[in-house]
Amino acid sequence: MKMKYNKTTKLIVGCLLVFTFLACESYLDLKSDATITTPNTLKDLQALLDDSRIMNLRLSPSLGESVADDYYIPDNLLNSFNSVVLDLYLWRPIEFLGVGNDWGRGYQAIYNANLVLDLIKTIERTELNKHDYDQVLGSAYFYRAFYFLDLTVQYGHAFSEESADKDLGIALRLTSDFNVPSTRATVRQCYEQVIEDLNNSISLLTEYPQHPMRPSQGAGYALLARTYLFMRKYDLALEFSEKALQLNNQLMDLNGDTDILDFSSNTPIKKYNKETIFYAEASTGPIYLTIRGIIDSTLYRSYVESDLRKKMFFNIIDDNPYFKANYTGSQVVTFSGLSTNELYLIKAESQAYLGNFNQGMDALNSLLKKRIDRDVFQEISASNKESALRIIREERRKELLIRNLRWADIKRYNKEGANIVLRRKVNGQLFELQPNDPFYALPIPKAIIDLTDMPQN
Amino acid sequence: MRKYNLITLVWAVIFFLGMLASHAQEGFRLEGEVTDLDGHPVVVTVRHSGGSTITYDGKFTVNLKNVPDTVRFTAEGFQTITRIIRETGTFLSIRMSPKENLIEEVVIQTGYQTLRPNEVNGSVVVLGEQQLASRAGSNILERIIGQSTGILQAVGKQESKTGITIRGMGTIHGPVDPLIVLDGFIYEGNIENINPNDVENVTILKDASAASIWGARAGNGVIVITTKKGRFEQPMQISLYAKGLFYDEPEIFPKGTIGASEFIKLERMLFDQGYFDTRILNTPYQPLTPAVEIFLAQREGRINSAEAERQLAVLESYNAKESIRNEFYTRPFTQQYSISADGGGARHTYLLSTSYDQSRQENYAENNKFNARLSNRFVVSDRLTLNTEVYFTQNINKAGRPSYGSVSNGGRYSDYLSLRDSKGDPIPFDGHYRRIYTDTLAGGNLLDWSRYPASDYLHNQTTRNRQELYATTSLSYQVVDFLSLTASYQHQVQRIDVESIADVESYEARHLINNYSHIDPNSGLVIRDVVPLGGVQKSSFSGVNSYTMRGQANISKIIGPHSINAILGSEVREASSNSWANANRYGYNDDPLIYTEVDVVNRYPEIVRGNLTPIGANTTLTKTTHRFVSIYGNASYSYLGRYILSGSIRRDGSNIFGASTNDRWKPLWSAGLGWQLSDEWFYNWETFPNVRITSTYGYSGNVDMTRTALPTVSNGTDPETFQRYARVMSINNPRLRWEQMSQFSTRLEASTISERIRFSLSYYEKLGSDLYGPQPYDYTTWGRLPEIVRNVADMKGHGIEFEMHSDNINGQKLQWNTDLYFNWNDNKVVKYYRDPEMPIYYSLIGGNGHRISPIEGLPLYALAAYKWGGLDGNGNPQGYLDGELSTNYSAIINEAAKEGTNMVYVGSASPRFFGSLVNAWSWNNFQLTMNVGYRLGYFSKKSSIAYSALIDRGEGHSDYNVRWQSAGDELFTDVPSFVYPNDPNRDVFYNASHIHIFSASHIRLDQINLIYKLDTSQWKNAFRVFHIHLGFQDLGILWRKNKLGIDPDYPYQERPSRLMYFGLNFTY
Repeated sequence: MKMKYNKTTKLIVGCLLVFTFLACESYLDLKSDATITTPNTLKDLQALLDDSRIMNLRLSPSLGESVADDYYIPDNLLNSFNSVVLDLYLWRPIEFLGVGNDWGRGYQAIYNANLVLDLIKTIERTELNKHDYDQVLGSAYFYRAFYFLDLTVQYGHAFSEESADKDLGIALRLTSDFNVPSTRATVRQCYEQVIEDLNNSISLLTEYPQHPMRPSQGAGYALLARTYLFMRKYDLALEFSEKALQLNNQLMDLNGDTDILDFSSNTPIKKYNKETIFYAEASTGPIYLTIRGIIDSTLYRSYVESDLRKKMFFNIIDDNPYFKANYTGSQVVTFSGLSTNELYLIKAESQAYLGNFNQGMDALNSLLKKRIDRDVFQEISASNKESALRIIREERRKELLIRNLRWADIKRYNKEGANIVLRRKVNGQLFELQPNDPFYALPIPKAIIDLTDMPQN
Repeated sequence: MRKYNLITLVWAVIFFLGMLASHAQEGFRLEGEVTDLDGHPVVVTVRHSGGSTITYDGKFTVNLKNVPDTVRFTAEGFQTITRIIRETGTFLSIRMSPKENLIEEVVIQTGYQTLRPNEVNGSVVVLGEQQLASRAGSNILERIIGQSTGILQAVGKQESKTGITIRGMGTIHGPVDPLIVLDGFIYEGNIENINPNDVENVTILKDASAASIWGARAGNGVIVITTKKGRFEQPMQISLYAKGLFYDEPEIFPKGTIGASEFIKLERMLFDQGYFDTRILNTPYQPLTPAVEIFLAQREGRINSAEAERQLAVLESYNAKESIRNEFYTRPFTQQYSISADGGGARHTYLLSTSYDQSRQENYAENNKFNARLSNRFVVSDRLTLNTEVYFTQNINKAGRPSYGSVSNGGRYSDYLSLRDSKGDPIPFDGHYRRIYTDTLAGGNLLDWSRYPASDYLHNQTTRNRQELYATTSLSYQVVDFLSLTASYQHQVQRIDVESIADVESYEARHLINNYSHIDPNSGLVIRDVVPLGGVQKSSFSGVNSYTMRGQANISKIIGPHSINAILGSEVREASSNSWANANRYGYNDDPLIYTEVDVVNRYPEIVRGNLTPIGANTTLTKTTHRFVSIYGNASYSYLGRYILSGSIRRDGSNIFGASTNDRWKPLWSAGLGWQLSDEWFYNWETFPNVRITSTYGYSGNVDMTRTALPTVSNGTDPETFQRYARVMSINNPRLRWEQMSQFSTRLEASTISERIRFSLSYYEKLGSDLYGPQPYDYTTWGRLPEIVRNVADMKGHGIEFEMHSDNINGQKLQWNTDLYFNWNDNKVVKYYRDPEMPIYYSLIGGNGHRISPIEGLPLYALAAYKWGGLDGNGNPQGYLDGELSTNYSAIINEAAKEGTNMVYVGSASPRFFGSLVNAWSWNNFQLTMNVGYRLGYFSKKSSIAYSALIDRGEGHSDYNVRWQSAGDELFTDVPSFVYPNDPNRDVFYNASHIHIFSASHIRLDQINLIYKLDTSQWKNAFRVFHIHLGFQDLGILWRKNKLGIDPDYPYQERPSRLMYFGLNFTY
């Protein structure tokens, strides 16, 4: 009799507990505050990626551009800056405090991308939503790749097959859970992650975007081309630049174009012009150095008189040229996105590097035709690979001025033995940055190093 | 932590030795039996030199170690008997008589279990009906003050909603209030809904061991309220109750005033200095004060100087404080009535009660509360019992007259106001705009745009209607003698509807209508098509719903000397709240009931300034739902009633916590050990025949219900792409969890023979860990903010509680009891992030100790100030700069922010030592109790004049009248001179300087209560009980350390009014 009761009792208590456990799974998934939007639909996730202030605008790490060699700051202006800016300008390691820096900005966009990648796992892909689903998923991969690449270029050394497995890159954060600690991956791992994310995104995205601020397949190809160029894998850079150009090969013709306004305007180029494949802006950096700086005089002189860019690109104040022709429609905000002119130059450089220097010059001439006064334009040619490469790289610097690319290019060329020494003359004193100096991997903010025990550059 | 391990070890050894000792039985054999006066056997413990033995059938055989020996017989509910045995061999017959003053045994309600005091190791206080009746007031929490240890009135502390804390603080940013439990379930309604007269007892679970059964929300202690029930086998009795509460009128303008003529002088000076000139020139519609209007009229030649003087003389005769007091304030008065019927048969008990409270508050607001309660117990069969409770409350509140702070001319105060003129008519005031300006606007065809404080309130009615239904039911099934199963359910619905109507004559309506009126350029008529002519009606709603389902197994078994008491259960709980506010209705009229739709979205010009503004809908809509799933268990094992081992465990999952918190099995637990020392064979101290030692350690949690583990986003439309965007405002934290409080507590209880003197001494240590706090984090994750709130901060508290109850005189006619309660509590922040650039005390500067500002190593409520260097020869306050006296205030403030060398830390702003002394005398039919409370060892901060507030808003302070006025005054006063133009930094420095902080130690007479119990035994067929109460509460300060005459808990603030109450209580 007693046994029977015990059995019944156990059964009842057991059922009670089992019920509790089963019930709590979904019972506890309810949102505690209904006015809080917690993103959980595809629309919400798309909205996270459509937050342009977090995903596109004034975010791309640009310290590299700020310390590159296309411009200089006159002494009187430089002396009015604080010591941090001065140290940076003279390539001395600095300590960044606070979050208003490139590291934080870049990872802010990566967080959103990771959040979308985490949350989309809870949504089922169906016949009805597959278009939106793929678009959201592909966009998240693209954004993550875009900022991983920018951050790697700034905080890691240039890619080289010999040292990519030991050079330190950035923290490859692949989840939105901040409890997961950050560690530095190698440069190779960083580039491999970028390529993997881009390959994922290309298969998901539509060929063209609804708006230039949204990623597209074209943007994916263009970013892959840029990535392989940075890795000096010229064959792949060529392949993807051509794929991207197949989707969009339009160029603005400086001889007359609806996207070009008056050359004398402070903002001569329209925002979202026909060359823009993916719209992104560089972070404004320390006090807009690149915009307040005077363009290197040798560089300025290298634009021939018939080169329409010489008129359109610069503001001449007291005989000093200042850059103004941003693809952002703004005099102060610089462009860091992807555009067709960059693709032409990647294609040209890759062809030349691979030995097809005539095809390389052809690609360059297609671009220059739209840049030089049509009345005097003559195609240029090169007699060998070396001269073709030299011409194309000079033209690359002239065309992609203040486009957040020069720093990566210097690093890349020096890995090929270009031996570019950066020089600054401040208050009569000469400062130099030797090729492959440790400073080429810029210092990571001190707070991050202190909190994570990641090694500093 | 190591300390606790050691203590555990010592306990284990004692326990083991005790067990051994009780089995070592050899020597002189003594046999006998124990019965009650009627000859029934008694369950009794026999204590002697050879140990102690418990017998269940009254017969005992023990082996004495030595003879002669003292043998004690103790039994629950009986008087202890002590016999000296000089020889063995004879059969001993003992007859025990019941304890006389045992009216009703105290039981401890944990909400999940009903236990007897000797079954509990945790720190628990039970306040019965009598103690709850010794204070008046309609809030049950007010009634538990000063009658136990561990409870501190958190006066003025912003984080505290209930106004009390149990055993000090355990959290920094989490909720600080104890968890309230009503009839076994968490209570989420308004505490005012519970009528204290319906409460049988209040059990306060103070330490982690007692509270941890309540899990993740019990970290601040638990207050378990149990309502009255009917009794079995009791004929119906009807109780009636009536009480009147008479309060003193509150003291308004607690900061004091400057006085009419001084104030006019001040305004004259400001006017002459041109202070008002830019305003008069640039914004001629901005209100001025009456005196300034006179100065201006005189300057513009609108009146001559004689007329000006005459008008000023009238103003000078006014007294703002008196006028406002006469018009808006009264003595608060409350009347309470209650009737209840209860009784029961063999298988059923019932209680039905209704009560009605009506009160008129200090500002003539009216509050009517109606409670009805029905409680039933049915014994369905020998095994099955059903309990049901239904509690209904309705509370209707009608808002009263304006407060003193609302009487101003467009936000500018003056000390010379009057609300009525000499004929008794309401005097007009400037509202948003100057009357002189609006009177002529639109050809004078607008509605009167003046405020009439004396009559405006008649046109504004706000009614707040709160209703609550709280029902519980439980079904118990006795499966076998030692096991029962209980299924219980709780449901609660509370709704609050607020309706406010400002009729067309109210200032609010007139202002809105005028503001959006415009003039038809052709006809010159006033058009009111934006806000129509009529009143404004607003309505809002807020509701709370909760339910709990609980299944529980109860095990209770006695096997010889072993006794086991255990529960195991699981619970599902949801508490949701929702609220909305409707769009205001304009053009409202109640008879006939009409209103007009208006456009609340588009912008319309305001008639005075021409700004385009929308009327605005002011709608809100919120909904929160909190869900918990819990399993819990509690067990106590007692051996011989001498060693009690207890433990509990509970696990909570919630939709507030992060997913990985819910996934991990991390329960809250507690363990305790109790030892009845006086039952030991070696214990022989006659003075204290009853000594008990307990130690407990355990964990409970604390949950901030507003946090969420999910990422939260705000939505908007991107101006470039026109797409909806979602921006993450707070990052997801899958590990968000409850804050954890651990508490170690140890207690010694002892009482003398017949419990004449009882005392207990406790020591406890509280550790709050995993507290919410900001932390710099690796912003590689997110990058938006350098710090995020996580479970990272720690704090520590510890304290001593001592209480003593003494029956000083226990005569037939005269009795005198004294209860003494003493508490010491200290706390400090152990871990909390501070920007390394910021000096340590800087964040305390300017604070008044009323809000937590956490700094590592300091108490949560703390005070710090600028070093004070006295007034200089010109009446300027002096601080320190580079160690030297200085009057460079911005530099002083800057140094404090950078170096922090010119600040001084003062101390805790919360009492470190506190308690009360309660004396009760009873003589014949009279019973008198007096409660004196004390709060010591802390600091308070007073306010003083801030000249910028005086100049900009007319905010006065009585310190103005003792300010430095001429050389030499610095010897008598610390109040700086008035200077114009004023340096705001001078005010900031002065008001945050050390001079304002004073010792807050004081003793106050809390309450005196007299009861006259009519002797009803001679009355035929009449009342069984007839009591008359007379009481006084909040009688004032008996001693204070400060020489300023300031009430340190209410420095220049309104304090609770003195209360006198009178009540009748009879049972039929």
